[in-house]
Amino acid sequence: MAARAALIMLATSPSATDYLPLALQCRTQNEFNKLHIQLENILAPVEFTHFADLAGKQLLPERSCAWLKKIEGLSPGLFDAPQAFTRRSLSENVLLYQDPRREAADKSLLVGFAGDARRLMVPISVFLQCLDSRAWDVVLLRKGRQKRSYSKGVEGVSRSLPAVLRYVRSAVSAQQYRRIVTLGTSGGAFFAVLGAILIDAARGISICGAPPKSPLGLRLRCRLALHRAFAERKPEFEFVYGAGHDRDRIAALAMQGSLGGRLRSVEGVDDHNPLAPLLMRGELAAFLESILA
Amino acid sequence: MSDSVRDVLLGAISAARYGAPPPPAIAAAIAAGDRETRLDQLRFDSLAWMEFCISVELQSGQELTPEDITNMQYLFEIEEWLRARL
Repeated sequence: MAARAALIMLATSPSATDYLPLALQCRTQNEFNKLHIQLENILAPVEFTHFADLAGKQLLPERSCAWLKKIEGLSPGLFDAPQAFTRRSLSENVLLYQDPRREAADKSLLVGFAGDARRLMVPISVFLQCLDSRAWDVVLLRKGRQKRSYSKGVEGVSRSLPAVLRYVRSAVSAQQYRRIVTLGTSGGAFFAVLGAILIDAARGISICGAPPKSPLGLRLRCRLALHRAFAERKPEFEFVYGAGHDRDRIAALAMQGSLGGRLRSVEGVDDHNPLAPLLMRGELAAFLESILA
Repeated sequence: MSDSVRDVLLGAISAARYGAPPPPAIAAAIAAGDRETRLDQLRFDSLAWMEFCISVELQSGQELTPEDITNMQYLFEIEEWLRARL
């Protein structure tokens, strides 16, 4: 019972400075893994310098060092030259990553729709390290604990997807940015494409997305139709999938069939996660640059 | 009457799929006590295996780890591991 209670308690969103006491509280490997999955889902690159300090002072337990070594293996520049994104919670499930020293007018805004694992297929710090913090701010939307579909909004913000996008526009003063791009992975991917319409983005990118099994609600469909009819500019859509993953390929074709846009297959990938193999091949930064351009 | 060990397995597979139910073929194999279903048929990545093991521990209090699973090839081995401890 104690193990179960401890695991349930490790459910908040810790900050890097809270790390050592939380890590030392973990009695089992699974408790440790649960904490570190949550950390990987939220921490910005610069927050890892705190961990590097602790490791340098030999204050970290062995499995923490093993975890840091894993992260460094995924993103070799993360500790030495982290991208200058800092993290701010706009809401429990809406996180803003930005270099506050740079003007928004000089940057583009990426609105990310995380999948059911509450990440963009790789730890968020690893994803951000592949971007240029001088050129991008990132708002990350996550599903809440109930894993409700984005068609029903975002927990803690609104039960309406259009209202969520209005919230994002207002919270970050989206009109300041040079352009807006939306990107979603897996369970967030289809809604990133819809979000591109609702937030007047330049581009909407689906990575291994699929149309939802249930039809969209009437209100949302009407809102989308109105936006598409009266938008000054229509977003470009891109549908990314692993070339060897038939289900994702078929889903991408289906979405392209109804929304238009471009297909982008990732060669040498037969998993429902093309970003991880791209990362392991050292190609993720270049790939993101090409689809976000 | 449900089998609590198989319920733990099914719950953990669902947790590793972020709430999606186990694939029908896997659920049927577990219910039938199948000994042929390989772990790689679940197509879990390392993150999913962590979620699986976390769920097993939350449900049963038993500390099955991803490292334990690297020594297994079949789903029935996890079931037997649990039965030996519950």
